[in-house]
Amino acid sequence: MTPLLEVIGLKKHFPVRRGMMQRRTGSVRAVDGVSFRLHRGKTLGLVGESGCGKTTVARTILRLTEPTSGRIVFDGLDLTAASPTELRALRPRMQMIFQDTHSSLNPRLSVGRSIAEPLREHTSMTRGQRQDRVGELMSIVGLDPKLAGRLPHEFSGGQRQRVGIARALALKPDLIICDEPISSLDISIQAQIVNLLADIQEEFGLTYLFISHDLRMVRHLCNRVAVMNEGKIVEMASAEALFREPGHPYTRALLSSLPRRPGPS
Amino acid sequence: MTPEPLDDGSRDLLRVRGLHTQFLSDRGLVHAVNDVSFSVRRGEALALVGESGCGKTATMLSVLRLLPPQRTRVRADEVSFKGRDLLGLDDEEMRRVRGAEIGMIFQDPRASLNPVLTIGRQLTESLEVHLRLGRRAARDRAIELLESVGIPRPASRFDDYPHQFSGGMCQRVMIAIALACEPSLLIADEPTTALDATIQAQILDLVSELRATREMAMIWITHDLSVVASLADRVAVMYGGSIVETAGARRLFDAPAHPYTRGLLASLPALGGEGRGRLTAIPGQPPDMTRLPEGCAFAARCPHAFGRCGEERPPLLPAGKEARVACWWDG
Repeated sequence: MTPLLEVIGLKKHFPVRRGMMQRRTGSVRAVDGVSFRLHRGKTLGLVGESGCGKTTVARTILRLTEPTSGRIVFDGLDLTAASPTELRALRPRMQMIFQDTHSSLNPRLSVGRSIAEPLREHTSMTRGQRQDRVGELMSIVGLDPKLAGRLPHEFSGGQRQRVGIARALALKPDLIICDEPISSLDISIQAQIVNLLADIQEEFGLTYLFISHDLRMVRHLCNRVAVMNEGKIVEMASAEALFREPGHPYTRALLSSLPRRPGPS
Repeated sequence: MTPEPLDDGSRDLLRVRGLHTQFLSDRGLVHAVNDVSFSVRRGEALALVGESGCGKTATMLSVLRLLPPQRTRVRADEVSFKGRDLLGLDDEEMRRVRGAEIGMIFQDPRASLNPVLTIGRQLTESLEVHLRLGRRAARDRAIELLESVGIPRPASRFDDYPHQFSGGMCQRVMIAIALACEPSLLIADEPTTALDATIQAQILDLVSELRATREMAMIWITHDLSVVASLADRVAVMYGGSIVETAGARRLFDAPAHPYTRGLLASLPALGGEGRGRLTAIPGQPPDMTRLPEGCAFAARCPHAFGRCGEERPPLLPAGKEARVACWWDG
């Protein structure tokens, strides 16, 4: 089976410039030779500490950042060699859910318009069709469609994340990149959002790249886990095996830094 | 250092009874702390647990008198530290208590350090003011302190500025500053939340070790239950501005009594086992602190709520050995 997403030898180096003439004096190897495959309907966890390059990997896959070298193959098409027209046609099929629900939604647009925006951009739906679809999406993520006219600040963090998820679902994507989707949410809300992500994955056959530093949630939600450190994947294994027998010293350090699970065992 | 005798002969280092804190925000009057009572004994580690906005930070800032007086109303039946009434002290006396007897560390170490002063100067300042050490002695003591919190080659880092330190190293410096005057109580407000997992573990180890060698009491404010398990002797869980349950750490995790505590523990995914099932989520959302309900603040989300829960706020009553629960449900 061909994977939905294949990343081959991905590198992204940022130049370091110094002095008045901004001469290039070196480079930061944010992503330094990353390869993985992600099969349809599965979830790959990408874990590591801040600065390890995991968000840069995500941004490069979505072509928000140009890779320095390497290939990104999405459903058989090499994105790094694709024409702008081909890329635009693919755009709807890859979506992202962000960590910070304050800055990822336009504060002056009603949540209904925010959810409808990708529909306006990428489909020929009429206004009425868009409104119906927005209502449907809001119900899917557990929001009352009657709230479509409200502004983001009238919602709690958990509800704003539901809006973000509805927006990501609008164009019926195949792949959703979730970049720390729960880490800014209240603890009593995190489980709600994780359950929602699992439910819609099952319902729509979604494929997730799940970026997180929360190892418990990664263990819970992912089939496979890739551990990143200093721009490289240092270990990749099934979630179960990784947590049972971490192979790489860095993975062991990450896991041993996890406090004992509280609560009834 | 031998503990000085307490005025009232109590084992309690800090005692808070009937604390209420309200402040004005642009959304209205926030009922941040509602009738909170707790105590910390000498050498004890208390964790104050709850989600953002539940009143845990407001509780500690009220005790330390660090809230802006123009916009805040704090009242309490008692806030005493070593038998002294903190609310009755003048500003100068209170400042001395905060600098020398109660150490504090906060979530964002970079924001708490002065960016234009060297690391060394920020340490010696407090040593010179509070312990009246001379320049030379203060420098030597500061270097010792930096070493004790695990800063490598402290003498050569003494003249560095905060931006030359990583986040974890800055938090170590903050801890060194907090410990400079050998406080008998350390208050830590989410000190590891902004740090990476491996650095967080190092800081937790460091604090445990320092606490063991100094017999220092501690209040650790956090939303992270897993941190609590490895650190605290006793836990107080806050919700909607009130303490809903307090118990020994072991007891709280083995047999949580309040439906909110139970819900939180149940919603954590397990590390072992199958995974991939559904998490047991708590439905609904935390209450709006400007419009708290008449009864229990958790009632709207509680699976066990009945008539009385919506009408009357449950008091925090004893529930077994050294445990208290605020709940009408008799589960």
